[in-house]
Amino acid sequence: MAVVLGLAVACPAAAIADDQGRAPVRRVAQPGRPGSFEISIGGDLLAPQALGSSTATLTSNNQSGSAFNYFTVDGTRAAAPAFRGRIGYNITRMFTVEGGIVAGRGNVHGAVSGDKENAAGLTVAERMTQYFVDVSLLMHLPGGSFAKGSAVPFLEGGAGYLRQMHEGNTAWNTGQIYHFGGGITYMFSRRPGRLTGLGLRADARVYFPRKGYSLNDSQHPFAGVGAALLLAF
Amino acid sequence: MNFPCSQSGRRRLARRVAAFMCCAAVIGVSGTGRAYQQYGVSVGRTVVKLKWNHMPVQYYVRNAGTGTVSAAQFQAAIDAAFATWHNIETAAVSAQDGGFVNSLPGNDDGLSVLGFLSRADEPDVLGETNWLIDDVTGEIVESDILFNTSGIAWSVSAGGETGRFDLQSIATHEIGHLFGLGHSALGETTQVTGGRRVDAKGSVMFPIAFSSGNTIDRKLQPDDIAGISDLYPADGFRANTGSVSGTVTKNGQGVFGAHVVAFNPTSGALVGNFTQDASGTFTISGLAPGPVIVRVEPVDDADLDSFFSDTSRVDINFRVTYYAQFAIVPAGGDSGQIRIQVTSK
Repeated sequence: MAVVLGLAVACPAAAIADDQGRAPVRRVAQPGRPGSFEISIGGDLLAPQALGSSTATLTSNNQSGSAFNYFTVDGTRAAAPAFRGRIGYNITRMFTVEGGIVAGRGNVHGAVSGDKENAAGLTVAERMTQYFVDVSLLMHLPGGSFAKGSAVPFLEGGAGYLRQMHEGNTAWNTGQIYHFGGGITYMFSRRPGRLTGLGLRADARVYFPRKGYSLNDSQHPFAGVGAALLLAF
Repeated sequence: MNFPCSQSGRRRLARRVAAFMCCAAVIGVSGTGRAYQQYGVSVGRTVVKLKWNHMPVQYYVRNAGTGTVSAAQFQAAIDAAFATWHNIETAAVSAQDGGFVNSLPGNDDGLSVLGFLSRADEPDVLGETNWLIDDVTGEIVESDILFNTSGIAWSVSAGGETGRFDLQSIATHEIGHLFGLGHSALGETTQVTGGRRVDAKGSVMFPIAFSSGNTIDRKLQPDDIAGISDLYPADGFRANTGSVSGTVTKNGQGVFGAHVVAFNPTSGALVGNFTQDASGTFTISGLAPGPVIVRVEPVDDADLDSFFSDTSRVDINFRVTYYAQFAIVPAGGDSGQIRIQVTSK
Protein backbone atom coordinates (compact mmCIF):
# COMPACT_ATOMS: atom_id res chain seq x y z
CA MET A 1 0.00 0.00 0.00
CA ALA A 2 2.78 2.37 0.87
CA VAL A 3 4.45 1.83 -2.49
CA VAL A 4 1.25 2.44 -4.38
CA LEU A 5 0.53 5.60 -2.48
CA GLY A 6 4.07 6.75 -2.95
CA LEU A 7 3.63 6.46 -6.67
CA ALA A 8 0.36 8.24 -6.43
CA VAL A 9 2.01 11.20 -4.79
CA ALA A 10 4.73 11.29 -7.35
CA CYS A 11 2.35 10.78 -10.28
CA PRO A 12 -1.05 11.70 -8.97
CA ALA A 13 -2.70 11.73 -12.38
CA ALA A 14 -1.49 8.36 -13.46
CA ALA A 15 -4.11 5.78 -14.19
CA ILE A 16 -3.14 2.33 -13.19
CA ALA A 17 -4.72 -0.55 -15.07
CA ASP A 18 -4.33 -4.12 -14.24
CA ASP A 19 -3.09 -6.52 -16.83
CA GLN A 20 -6.36 -8.37 -17.19
CA GLY A 21 -8.25 -5.71 -19.10
CA ARG A 22 -10.46 -4.48 -16.34
CA ALA A 23 -11.36 -0.84 -16.16
CA PRO A 24 -8.53 1.32 -14.83
CA VAL A 25 -8.78 2.44 -11.21
CA ARG A 26 -7.88 6.00 -10.38
CA ARG A 27 -5.81 6.32 -7.21
CA VAL A 28 -5.21 9.88 -6.22
CA ALA A 29 -3.83 11.55 -3.15
CA GLN A 30 -6.82 12.96 -1.40
CA PRO A 31 -6.79 15.17 1.64
CA GLY A 32 -6.12 13.14 4.72
CA ARG A 33 -4.82 10.19 2.80
CA PRO A 34 -1.43 8.97 3.92
CA GLY A 35 1.38 10.42 1.89
CA SER A 36 -0.45 13.54 0.83
CA PHE A 37 0.51 17.09 1.72
CA GLU A 38 -1.53 20.04 2.78
CA ILE A 39 -0.75 23.73 2.72
CA SER A 40 -2.84 26.26 4.53
CA ILE A 41 -2.53 30.01 4.39
CA GLY A 42 -4.71 32.34 6.36
CA GLY A 43 -5.08 34.63 9.30
CA ASP A 44 -5.34 34.34 13.04
CA LEU A 45 -6.69 36.57 15.70
CA LEU A 46 -4.60 36.33 18.82
CA ALA A 47 -6.68 37.15 21.86
CA PRO A 48 -5.46 39.70 24.43
CA GLN A 49 -2.78 38.40 26.73
CA ALA A 50 -2.08 39.42 30.29
CA LEU A 51 1.55 40.36 30.73
CA GLY A 52 1.58 40.57 34.49
CA SER A 53 2.17 43.36 36.90
CA SER A 54 5.35 44.94 38.16
CA THR A 55 5.93 47.50 40.88
CA ALA A 56 8.88 49.82 41.01
CA THR A 57 10.04 49.85 44.59
CA LEU A 58 12.55 51.48 46.86
CA THR A 59 13.86 49.85 50.01
CA SER A 60 12.22 51.07 53.17
CA ASN A 61 14.20 52.32 56.11
CA ASN A 62 13.75 49.33 58.34
CA GLN A 63 15.87 46.29 58.98
CA SER A 64 13.65 44.05 56.88
CA GLY A 65 13.97 46.42 53.94
CA SER A 66 10.34 46.15 53.02
CA ALA A 67 9.22 47.50 49.69
CA PHE A 68 8.30 51.16 49.32
CA ASN A 69 6.14 51.48 46.24
CA TYR A 70 7.22 53.98 43.63
CA PHE A 71 4.59 53.11 41.04
CA THR A 72 2.97 50.04 39.52
CA VAL A 73 2.49 48.99 35.93
CA ASP A 74 0.04 46.36 34.68
CA GLY A 75 0.77 44.96 31.26
CA THR A 76 -1.42 43.54 28.53
CA ARG A 77 -0.99 42.74 24.88
CA ALA A 78 -4.03 43.78 22.95
CA ALA A 79 -5.77 41.47 20.52
CA ALA A 80 -3.67 41.20 17.41
CA PRO A 81 -4.17 39.90 13.89
CA ALA A 82 -1.58 37.52 12.58
CA PHE A 83 -0.59 35.78 9.40
CA ARG A 84 -0.52 32.01 9.50
CA GLY A 85 1.07 29.61 7.05
CA ARG A 86 1.43 25.87 7.51
CA ILE A 87 2.47 22.81 5.60
CA GLY A 88 1.47 19.35 6.71
CA TYR A 89 2.23 15.79 5.78
CA ASN A 90 -0.36 13.11 6.37
CA ILE A 91 1.43 10.24 8.02
CA THR A 92 -1.67 8.14 8.33
CA ARG A 93 -5.35 8.81 7.85
CA MET A 94 -5.52 9.87 11.42
CA PHE A 95 -2.28 11.74 11.99
CA THR A 96 -0.69 14.70 10.27
CA VAL A 97 2.56 16.33 11.18
CA GLU A 98 2.87 19.92 10.19
CA GLY A 99 5.09 22.91 10.58
CA GLY A 100 4.31 26.52 10.22
CA ILE A 101 4.64 30.10 11.22
CA VAL A 102 2.37 32.59 12.91
CA ALA A 103 3.46 36.20 12.65
CA GLY A 104 1.64 39.26 13.90
CA ARG A 105 1.97 42.67 15.41
CA GLY A 106 0.05 44.04 18.35
CA ASN A 107 0.06 46.81 20.89
CA VAL A 108 1.52 46.25 24.32
CA HIS A 109 0.02 48.47 26.98
CA GLY A 110 1.35 49.31 30.40
CA ALA A 111 -1.15 50.90 32.76
CA VAL A 112 0.79 52.98 35.26
CA SER A 113 -0.84 53.64 38.64
CA GLY A 114 -0.07 54.16 42.29
CA ASP A 115 2.56 56.83 41.79
CA LYS A 116 4.20 57.80 45.06
CA GLU A 117 3.63 61.46 44.27
CA ASN A 118 0.03 60.79 43.26
CA ALA A 119 0.74 61.58 39.65
CA ALA A 120 -2.15 60.86 37.36
CA GLY A 121 -2.23 57.37 35.97
CA LEU A 122 -1.63 56.79 32.30
CA THR A 123 -1.14 53.98 29.85
CA VAL A 124 2.12 53.68 27.98
CA ALA A 125 2.33 51.58 24.86
CA GLU A 126 4.53 50.06 22.21
CA ARG A 127 3.95 47.87 19.18
CA MET A 128 5.42 44.41 19.41
CA THR A 129 5.93 42.05 16.52
CA GLN A 130 5.98 38.40 17.36
CA TYR A 131 6.23 35.17 15.50
CA PHE A 132 6.23 31.51 16.35
CA VAL A 133 7.73 28.77 14.23
CA ASP A 134 6.29 25.51 15.42
CA VAL A 135 5.74 21.85 14.73
CA SER A 136 2.37 20.28 15.44
CA LEU A 137 0.79 16.88 15.45
CA LEU A 138 -2.81 16.78 14.27
CA MET A 139 -5.11 13.93 15.08
CA HIS A 140 -8.04 13.77 12.66
CA LEU A 141 -11.33 12.47 13.95
CA PRO A 142 -13.05 10.95 10.91
CA GLY A 143 -15.69 9.48 13.18
CA GLY A 144 -16.88 12.98 13.85
CA SER A 145 -17.10 14.03 10.24
CA PHE A 146 -20.19 15.66 8.86
CA ALA A 147 -21.40 17.41 5.74
CA LYS A 148 -21.16 14.13 3.86
CA GLY A 149 -17.66 13.63 5.06
CA SER A 150 -16.36 16.93 3.77
CA ALA A 151 -15.88 18.36 7.26
CA VAL A 152 -13.55 16.53 9.56
CA PRO A 153 -12.66 17.73 13.05
CA PHE A 154 -9.16 17.43 14.43
CA LEU A 155 -7.18 17.95 17.58
CA GLU A 156 -3.72 19.40 17.58
CA GLY A 157 -0.78 20.06 19.84
CA GLY A 158 2.71 21.28 19.28
CA ALA A 159 5.68 23.34 20.30
CA GLY A 160 7.82 25.94 18.71
CA TYR A 161 10.20 28.84 18.85
CA LEU A 162 8.92 32.22 19.98
CA ARG A 163 10.47 35.54 19.05
CA GLN A 164 9.05 38.89 20.09
CA MET A 165 10.49 42.09 18.67
CA HIS A 166 9.82 45.28 20.54
CA GLU A 167 9.03 48.46 18.68
CA GLY A 168 11.85 49.47 16.42
CA ASN A 169 13.12 45.88 16.34
CA THR A 170 16.10 46.81 18.50
CA ALA A 171 15.25 44.63 21.48
CA TRP A 172 13.62 41.25 21.63
CA ASN A 173 12.64 38.27 23.70
CA THR A 174 13.01 34.69 22.62
CA GLY A 175 11.53 31.59 24.13
CA GLN A 176 9.32 28.64 23.45
CA ILE A 177 5.64 28.39 22.83
CA TYR A 178 3.38 25.41 23.23
CA HIS A 179 -0.12 25.09 21.90
CA PHE A 180 -3.11 22.83 22.11
CA GLY A 181 -6.35 23.11 20.26
CA GLY A 182 -8.57 21.76 17.61
CA GLY A 183 -10.56 22.64 14.55
CA ILE A 184 -12.27 21.51 11.42
CA THR A 185 -11.18 21.04 7.85
CA TYR A 186 -13.84 21.40 5.21
CA MET A 187 -13.05 20.34 1.68
CA PHE A 188 -14.94 21.98 -1.14
CA SER A 189 -13.70 19.68 -3.80
CA ARG A 190 -11.66 16.62 -4.36
CA ARG A 191 -10.40 15.74 -7.72
CA PRO A 192 -7.55 13.95 -9.33
CA GLY A 193 -4.55 15.95 -10.38
CA ARG A 194 -1.69 17.70 -8.78
CA LEU A 195 -4.06 19.75 -6.72
CA THR A 196 -6.32 17.20 -5.21
CA GLY A 197 -8.33 19.22 -2.76
CA LEU A 198 -9.40 22.70 -1.91
CA GLY A 199 -10.98 23.63 1.35
CA LEU A 200 -11.05 25.70 4.47
CA ARG A 201 -9.53 25.11 7.80
CA ALA A 202 -10.63 26.72 11.01
CA ASP A 203 -9.06 26.13 14.34
CA ALA A 204 -8.76 27.45 17.85
CA ARG A 205 -5.68 27.18 19.98
CA VAL A 206 -4.50 27.95 23.44
CA TYR A 207 -0.90 29.10 23.54
CA PHE A 208 1.43 28.66 26.49
CA PRO A 209 4.53 30.80 26.06
CA ARG A 210 7.71 30.20 27.99
CA LYS A 211 10.22 33.02 28.39
CA GLY A 212 8.07 35.33 26.34
CA TYR A 213 7.85 39.00 27.22
CA SER A 214 6.08 39.80 30.45
CA LEU A 215 6.35 42.46 33.07
CA ASN A 216 7.25 40.14 35.89
CA ASP A 217 8.62 36.98 34.29
CA SER A 218 5.32 35.21 34.74
CA GLN A 219 3.96 33.56 31.62
CA HIS A 220 0.31 33.87 30.78
CA PRO A 221 -1.51 31.71 28.24
CA PHE A 222 -3.62 33.25 25.52
CA ALA A 223 -6.05 32.03 22.91
CA GLY A 224 -6.04 32.30 19.17
CA VAL A 225 -8.57 31.53 16.48
CA GLY A 226 -7.88 31.34 12.81
CA ALA A 227 -9.12 30.44 9.39
CA ALA A 228 -7.11 29.45 6.37
CA LEU A 229 -7.44 28.32 2.81
CA LEU A 230 -6.40 24.71 2.56
CA LEU A 231 -4.74 23.17 -0.46
CA ALA A 232 -4.09 19.46 -0.64
CA PHE A 233 -1.79 17.72 -3.08
CA MET B 1 18.76 63.63 62.81
CA ASN B 2 20.34 64.25 59.49
CA PHE B 3 23.26 62.05 58.64
CA PRO B 4 24.34 62.92 55.16
CA CYS B 5 27.49 61.81 53.54
CA SER B 6 29.94 64.57 52.96
CA GLN B 7 32.67 64.80 50.44
CA SER B 8 35.31 67.42 50.55
CA GLY B 9 38.31 68.31 48.52
CA ARG B 10 41.61 69.97 48.98
CA ARG B 11 43.77 71.80 46.55
CA ARG B 12 47.39 71.02 46.49
CA LEU B 13 49.92 71.97 43.91
CA ALA B 14 52.33 69.14 43.77
CA ARG B 15 53.65 68.63 40.30
CA ARG B 16 50.78 67.62 38.08
CA VAL B 17 48.54 66.80 40.94
CA ALA B 18 45.83 68.98 42.31
CA ALA B 19 43.04 68.46 44.69
CA PHE B 20 39.49 68.40 43.53
CA MET B 21 36.58 70.11 45.17
CA CYS B 22 34.29 67.22 44.70
CA CYS B 23 31.19 68.47 46.40
CA ALA B 24 31.18 71.52 44.19
CA ALA B 25 31.60 69.58 41.05
CA VAL B 26 28.81 67.11 40.75
CA ILE B 27 28.74 66.34 37.12
CA GLY B 28 26.24 68.38 35.28
CA VAL B 29 27.51 71.70 36.50
CA SER B 30 29.40 72.12 33.29
CA GLY B 31 26.73 70.47 31.22
CA THR B 32 29.12 68.03 29.72
CA GLY B 33 28.69 65.17 32.09
CA ARG B 34 27.16 61.90 31.10
CA ALA B 35 25.85 60.09 34.12
CA TYR B 36 24.76 61.70 37.30
CA GLN B 37 26.24 58.98 39.41
CA GLN B 38 29.63 60.08 38.26
CA TYR B 39 31.74 63.17 38.78
CA GLY B 40 33.31 65.31 36.14
CA VAL B 41 36.74 66.82 36.35
CA SER B 42 37.70 69.87 34.36
CA VAL B 43 40.89 69.19 32.50
CA GLY B 44 41.71 72.22 30.44
CA ARG B 45 38.57 73.03 28.54
CA THR B 46 37.11 69.59 28.69
CA VAL B 47 35.42 67.65 31.43
CA VAL B 48 36.44 64.05 31.94
CA LYS B 49 35.03 61.46 34.26
CA LEU B 50 36.65 61.29 37.64
CA LYS B 51 38.04 57.78 37.91
CA TRP B 52 41.01 55.61 38.60
CA ASN B 53 42.99 54.63 35.56
CA HIS B 54 44.67 51.65 37.16
CA MET B 55 43.34 48.70 39.07
CA PRO B 56 43.53 47.37 41.69
CA VAL B 57 43.24 50.42 43.89
CA GLN B 58 45.66 50.04 46.77
CA TYR B 59 44.17 51.15 50.07
CA TYR B 60 45.35 51.23 53.64
CA VAL B 61 43.56 51.07 56.94
CA ARG B 62 44.30 53.34 59.84
CA ASN B 63 45.50 51.29 62.76
CA ALA B 64 42.98 52.65 65.23
CA GLY B 65 39.59 51.59 66.47
CA THR B 66 36.90 53.16 68.55
CA GLY B 67 35.31 52.11 71.78
CA THR B 68 33.03 49.67 70.00
CA VAL B 69 35.04 48.63 66.95
CA SER B 70 38.62 47.41 67.05
CA ALA B 71 41.11 48.18 64.31
CA ALA B 72 40.94 44.58 63.13
CA GLN B 73 37.15 44.69 63.00
CA PHE B 74 37.35 47.96 61.16
CA GLN B 75 39.68 46.44 58.59
CA ALA B 76 37.40 43.43 58.09
CA ALA B 77 34.40 45.66 57.49
CA ILE B 78 36.33 47.79 55.01
CA ASP B 79 37.56 44.72 53.14
CA ALA B 80 34.01 43.41 52.94
CA ALA B 81 32.75 46.71 51.60
CA PHE B 82 35.42 46.78 48.90
CA ALA B 83 34.57 43.19 48.01
CA THR B 84 30.96 44.21 47.45
CA TRP B 85 32.03 46.51 44.64
CA HIS B 86 34.69 44.12 43.37
CA ASN B 87 32.13 41.34 43.03
CA ILE B 88 30.03 43.18 40.46
CA GLU B 89 30.46 41.10 37.33
CA THR B 90 29.72 43.94 34.95
CA ALA B 91 32.27 46.35 36.45
CA ALA B 92 36.04 46.13 36.21
CA VAL B 93 36.89 47.44 39.67
CA SER B 94 39.19 45.89 42.20
CA ALA B 95 41.08 46.95 45.28
CA GLN B 96 43.83 45.59 47.44
CA ASP B 97 44.28 45.99 51.15
CA GLY B 98 47.78 47.27 51.83
CA GLY B 99 47.45 46.73 55.56
CA PHE B 100 47.54 49.00 58.58
CA VAL B 101 49.16 52.41 58.63
CA ASN B 102 49.28 55.14 61.21
CA SER B 103 48.50 57.88 58.68
CA LEU B 104 45.33 59.88 59.06
CA PRO B 105 42.76 60.00 56.31
CA GLY B 106 43.02 63.36 54.61
CA ASN B 107 46.79 63.59 54.50
CA ASP B 108 48.30 64.09 51.06
CA ASP B 109 50.79 61.30 51.48
CA GLY B 110 50.15 59.25 48.37
CA LEU B 111 48.32 56.61 50.37
CA SER B 112 44.59 56.02 50.18
CA VAL B 113 43.75 55.69 53.84
CA LEU B 114 40.46 54.77 55.47
CA GLY B 115 40.05 55.33 59.16
CA PHE B 116 38.15 56.66 62.10
CA LEU B 117 38.58 60.33 62.81
CA SER B 118 36.74 62.75 65.04
CA ARG B 119 35.14 65.62 63.16
CA ALA B 120 33.40 67.60 65.85
CA ASP B 121 32.81 70.38 63.36
CA GLU B 122 30.60 68.06 61.28
CA PRO B 123 28.54 66.23 63.85
CA ASP B 124 25.94 65.15 61.31
CA VAL B 125 28.43 63.66 58.90
CA LEU B 126 28.99 59.92 59.11
CA GLY B 127 31.65 59.58 56.45
CA GLU B 128 33.67 61.77 54.17
CA THR B 129 35.59 60.91 51.04
CA ASN B 130 38.12 63.08 49.28
CA TRP B 131 40.38 62.61 46.34
CA LEU B 132 43.67 63.83 45.07
CA ILE B 133 43.65 64.00 41.31
CA ASP B 134 46.04 64.55 38.50
CA ASP B 135 44.77 67.75 37.01
CA VAL B 136 46.17 66.92 33.60
CA THR B 137 44.52 63.56 33.12
CA GLY B 138 41.72 63.74 35.66
CA GLU B 139 42.93 60.48 37.14
CA ILE B 140 42.42 59.85 40.83
CA VAL B 141 45.78 59.27 42.45
CA GLU B 142 44.69 59.12 46.06
CA SER B 143 41.43 58.92 47.94
CA ASP B 144 40.91 58.96 51.66
CA ILE B 145 37.82 58.15 53.67
CA LEU B 146 37.15 59.16 57.23
CA PHE B 147 34.46 57.75 59.47
CA ASN B 148 33.39 60.31 62.00
CA THR B 149 33.61 59.30 65.65
CA SER B 150 32.34 62.58 67.06
CA GLY B 151 29.14 61.62 68.78
CA ILE B 152 28.57 58.67 66.44
CA ALA B 153 28.60 55.06 67.60
CA TRP B 154 29.65 52.38 65.14
CA SER B 155 28.90 48.71 64.80
CA VAL B 156 30.24 45.76 62.84
CA SER B 157 27.62 43.34 64.07
CA ALA B 158 26.30 41.14 61.28
CA GLY B 159 22.70 41.98 62.08
CA GLY B 160 23.26 45.58 63.11
CA GLU B 161 22.92 47.13 66.55
CA THR B 162 20.31 49.56 67.69
CA GLY B 163 21.74 53.03 68.11
CA ARG B 164 24.91 52.27 66.19
CA PHE B 165 25.59 52.85 62.54
CA ASP B 166 26.69 49.91 60.50
CA LEU B 167 30.26 50.52 59.44
CA GLN B 168 30.17 48.22 56.43
CA SER B 169 27.07 49.92 55.04
CA ILE B 170 28.55 53.39 55.35
CA ALA B 171 31.86 52.15 53.97
CA THR B 172 30.10 50.70 50.94
CA HIS B 173 28.65 54.13 50.21
CA GLU B 174 31.94 55.95 50.73
CA ILE B 175 33.86 53.46 48.64
CA GLY B 176 31.44 54.21 45.83
CA HIS B 177 32.68 57.79 46.07
CA LEU B 178 36.28 56.58 46.23
CA PHE B 179 35.77 54.90 42.87
CA GLY B 180 34.26 58.10 41.45
CA LEU B 181 30.52 57.76 41.90
CA GLY B 182 28.43 60.70 42.97
CA HIS B 183 25.13 60.74 44.75
CA SER B 184 21.94 59.17 43.51
CA ALA B 185 18.58 60.84 43.98
CA LEU B 186 16.65 57.59 44.22
CA GLY B 187 15.20 58.06 47.64
CA GLU B 188 12.48 59.56 49.75
CA THR B 189 12.98 61.61 52.87
CA THR B 190 10.83 63.26 55.49
CA GLN B 191 11.63 66.42 57.36
CA VAL B 192 12.08 65.69 61.07
CA THR B 193 13.44 67.66 63.96
CA GLY B 194 17.09 68.33 63.33
CA GLY B 195 17.16 67.27 59.73
CA ARG B 196 15.73 64.77 57.32
CA ARG B 197 15.03 61.11 57.75
CA VAL B 198 15.18 58.58 54.94
CA ASP B 199 11.89 56.81 54.32
CA ALA B 200 13.20 54.65 51.54
CA LYS B 201 15.90 54.61 48.92
CA GLY B 202 16.81 52.79 45.77
CA SER B 203 20.55 53.27 45.84
CA VAL B 204 23.37 52.86 48.30
CA MET B 205 24.66 56.12 46.83
CA PHE B 206 21.68 58.12 48.08
CA PRO B 207 23.23 60.93 50.16
CA ILE B 208 21.47 60.20 53.44
CA ALA B 209 22.07 57.01 55.36
CA PHE B 210 19.52 54.59 56.68
CA SER B 211 18.87 54.76 60.40
CA SER B 212 21.30 53.34 62.92
CA GLY B 213 21.11 49.59 63.26
CA ASN B 214 20.23 49.13 59.59
CA THR B 215 22.57 46.97 57.50
CA ILE B 216 20.72 47.00 54.19
CA ASP B 217 23.23 49.25 52.49
CA ARG B 218 25.77 46.46 52.54
CA LYS B 219 24.06 45.32 49.36
CA LEU B 220 24.22 47.35 46.17
CA GLN B 221 21.14 48.17 44.16
CA PRO B 222 20.67 48.28 40.37
CA ASP B 223 21.27 52.02 40.28
CA ASP B 224 24.66 51.59 41.96
CA ILE B 225 25.61 48.70 39.72
CA ALA B 226 24.65 50.58 36.57
CA GLY B 227 26.68 53.59 37.68
CA ILE B 228 29.90 51.76 38.54
CA SER B 229 29.60 49.51 35.48
CA ASP B 230 29.19 52.52 33.23
CA LEU B 231 32.27 54.10 34.78
CA TYR B 232 34.40 50.95 34.70
CA PRO B 233 32.75 48.66 32.16
CA ALA B 234 33.76 45.02 32.20
CA ASP B 235 34.17 43.20 28.92
CA GLY B 236 30.84 42.90 27.19
CA PHE B 237 29.03 45.41 29.37
CA ARG B 238 28.67 48.03 26.64
CA ALA B 239 27.51 45.44 24.12
CA ASN B 240 25.01 43.87 26.46
CA THR B 241 23.40 47.00 27.86
CA GLY B 242 21.95 50.15 26.40
CA SER B 243 20.75 53.57 27.32
CA VAL B 244 17.80 55.90 27.22
CA SER B 245 18.40 59.48 26.27
CA GLY B 246 16.30 62.48 25.53
CA THR B 247 15.20 65.88 26.70
CA VAL B 248 12.88 67.26 29.33
CA THR B 249 11.25 70.56 28.42
CA LYS B 250 8.75 72.94 29.94
CA ASN B 251 7.08 75.64 27.90
CA GLY B 252 9.50 74.88 25.14
CA GLN B 253 12.57 75.41 27.29
CA GLY B 254 14.92 72.77 28.61
CA VAL B 255 14.62 71.80 32.27
CA PHE B 256 17.87 71.63 34.20
CA GLY B 257 18.25 69.24 37.12
CA ALA B 258 15.15 67.12 36.57
CA HIS B 259 15.44 63.66 38.08
CA VAL B 260 14.77 61.07 35.38
CA VAL B 261 14.25 57.42 36.27
CA ALA B 262 14.07 54.41 33.97
CA PHE B 263 12.19 51.38 35.26
CA ASN B 264 12.54 47.99 33.64
CA PRO B 265 9.34 46.20 34.68
CA THR B 266 10.72 42.77 33.87
CA SER B 267 13.81 43.02 36.05
CA GLY B 268 12.43 45.56 38.50
CA ALA B 269 15.56 47.66 38.10
CA LEU B 270 15.29 51.40 38.77
CA VAL B 271 18.14 53.52 37.44
CA GLY B 272 18.19 57.29 37.55
CA ASN B 273 19.93 60.33 36.25
CA PHE B 274 19.48 64.06 35.87
CA THR B 275 18.96 66.43 33.01
CA GLN B 276 22.33 68.01 32.84
CA ASP B 277 22.21 71.16 30.80
CA ALA B 278 20.04 74.08 29.85
CA SER B 279 18.47 72.16 27.00
CA GLY B 280 17.26 69.48 29.40
CA THR B 281 19.17 66.54 27.97
CA PHE B 282 19.70 63.33 29.88
CA THR B 283 21.18 59.90 29.37
CA ILE B 284 20.63 56.85 31.56
CA SER B 285 23.19 54.20 30.78
CA GLY B 286 23.80 50.64 31.84
CA LEU B 287 20.24 49.44 31.27
CA ALA B 288 19.25 45.92 30.36
CA PRO B 289 17.76 45.75 26.84
CA GLY B 290 14.00 45.92 26.56
CA PRO B 291 11.12 48.26 27.25
CA VAL B 292 11.41 50.70 30.14
CA ILE B 293 9.06 53.22 31.69
CA VAL B 294 10.57 56.68 32.06
CA ARG B 295 9.44 58.98 34.85
CA VAL B 296 10.52 62.56 35.53
CA GLU B 297 10.23 64.39 38.82
CA PRO B 298 11.77 67.44 40.46
CA VAL B 299 14.69 66.83 42.76
CA ASP B 300 13.82 67.01 46.43
CA ASP B 301 14.45 70.65 47.23
CA ALA B 302 16.00 69.70 50.56
CA ASP B 303 18.72 67.74 48.85
CA LEU B 304 19.67 70.04 46.00
CA ASP B 305 23.14 70.77 47.24
CA SER B 306 23.85 67.07 47.42
CA PHE B 307 23.71 66.97 43.66
CA PHE B 308 24.36 70.43 42.25
CA SER B 309 26.70 73.22 43.09
CA ASP B 310 24.66 75.88 41.36
CA THR B 311 21.27 75.10 42.81
CA SER B 312 19.77 78.30 41.43
CA ARG B 313 19.64 76.72 38.00
CA VAL B 314 17.73 73.66 39.14
CA ASP B 315 14.06 73.73 38.17
CA ILE B 316 11.86 72.07 40.77
CA ASN B 317 8.60 73.65 39.68
CA PHE B 318 7.00 70.98 37.54
CA ARG B 319 4.72 68.01 37.92
CA VAL B 320 5.74 64.38 37.92
CA THR B 321 5.47 63.23 34.32
CA TYR B 322 5.80 59.91 32.56
CA TYR B 323 6.98 59.41 29.01
CA ALA B 324 3.84 58.34 27.18
CA GLN B 325 5.43 55.36 25.45
CA PHE B 326 7.56 52.47 26.48
CA ALA B 327 11.12 53.51 25.68
CA ILE B 328 12.93 50.63 24.05
CA VAL B 329 16.51 50.06 25.18
CA PRO B 330 18.57 48.19 22.60
CA ALA B 331 21.60 46.08 23.43
CA GLY B 332 24.70 48.10 22.69
CA GLY B 333 22.79 51.19 21.68
CA ASP B 334 20.50 53.99 22.65
CA SER B 335 16.74 54.36 22.61
CA GLY B 336 16.96 57.38 20.40
CA GLN B 337 16.04 60.80 21.68
CA ILE B 338 12.79 60.77 23.58
CA ARG B 339 11.05 64.02 24.43
CA ILE B 340 9.21 64.56 27.67
CA GLN B 341 7.21 67.71 28.19
CA VAL B 342 6.44 68.70 31.75
CA THR B 343 4.11 71.34 33.10
CA SER B 344 4.41 73.71 36.03
CA LYS B 345 2.84 72.77 39.33
